[in-house]
Amino acid sequence: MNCFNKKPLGVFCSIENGAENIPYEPALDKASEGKRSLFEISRPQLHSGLFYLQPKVMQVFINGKPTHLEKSLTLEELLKNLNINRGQSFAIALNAEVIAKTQLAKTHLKDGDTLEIIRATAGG
Amino acid sequence: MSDVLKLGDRNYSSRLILGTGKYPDFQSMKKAHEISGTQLVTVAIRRIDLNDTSAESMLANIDRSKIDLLPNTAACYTAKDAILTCELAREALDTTLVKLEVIGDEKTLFPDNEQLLEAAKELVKQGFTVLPYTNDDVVVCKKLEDIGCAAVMPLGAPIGSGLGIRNPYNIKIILEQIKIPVIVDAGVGTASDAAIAMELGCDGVLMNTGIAGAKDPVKMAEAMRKAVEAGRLAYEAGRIEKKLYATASSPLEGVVGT
Repeated sequence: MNCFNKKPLGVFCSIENGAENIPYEPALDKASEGKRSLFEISRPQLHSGLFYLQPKVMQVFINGKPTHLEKSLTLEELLKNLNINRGQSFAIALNAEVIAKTQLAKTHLKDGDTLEIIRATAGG
Repeated sequence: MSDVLKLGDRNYSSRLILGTGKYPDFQSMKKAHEISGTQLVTVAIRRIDLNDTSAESMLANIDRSKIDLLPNTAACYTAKDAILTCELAREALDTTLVKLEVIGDEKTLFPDNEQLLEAAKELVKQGFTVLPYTNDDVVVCKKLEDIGCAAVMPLGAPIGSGLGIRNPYNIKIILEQIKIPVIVDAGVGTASDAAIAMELGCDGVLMNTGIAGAKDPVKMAEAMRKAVEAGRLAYEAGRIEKKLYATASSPLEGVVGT
């Protein structure tokens, strides 16, 4: 998967080119094939001969880009993962509602949320 | 200083509002701002580049102790987008000042007045100090004034065109009918254009490309400062009436010779 940051964060990855890397959920009669289970509830499954727990993945849209989160984050955690620090002049709209900076730690992302993260740039 | 430009609850001794776009580099932008004496500069509101979230060099090149920020809604085509952009700008920059533009046509960048009025209404209700970019149309300007905008900003010519004040008579009509500040926004190409706007009695001039796109932006910024100051002084001084025929400047008595 393509992570936003160079260091692996584990919980925050882009969907770009990522779908192929999501483990298949094998059909009962065909262990080598199966459908993807991006949004299905986690359960133990067989993959490469090993059992493991597949985490529940949710999708949010950040600045128009579909993005997978492996767990629900608060906006504050998300900003940390994006390397946006609180001292910068930025603002966030969650589903077209501006979220005050004081509310970032209390606001949790849900599957399907749309985020706009903006800053001031050169313009006339 | 008594001769100030009042926008909402802010007073500016400089009547020149500049942009921050299109400069060859931030250094020349900073110098141009400095020499122009501007106290208010526009900035655009855009999505953060998620691949490079650390860069914030543009704002770092604005002397915030002398210069206020005026976020714009450039490239918004609907009232809805413009309103959200203003709300985001207020949160990001801690200001209620906004340059409201709602564009109606990609080629001319003329405003969509219907959407503009709708957005202005909502933003005034929310307590913003709204400075709307509009046509040189007194009817729209009157509506914007009635809504409660802090100024009207009619265009002199299309954005970035440098065509100057294409219809000084329309600007004159607006100046006669509108009590809030009138700021010519867009179209200024060179110093005389700014001087003409100010001589007409405009309260200020807003420009970006005219300076940033000049061969020497810093020199043009100085020229614009002088033009705005000269134009304002000429307006205050009160120009002579235009006449078709000559009137001698020297006494007719005591002329040497026969």
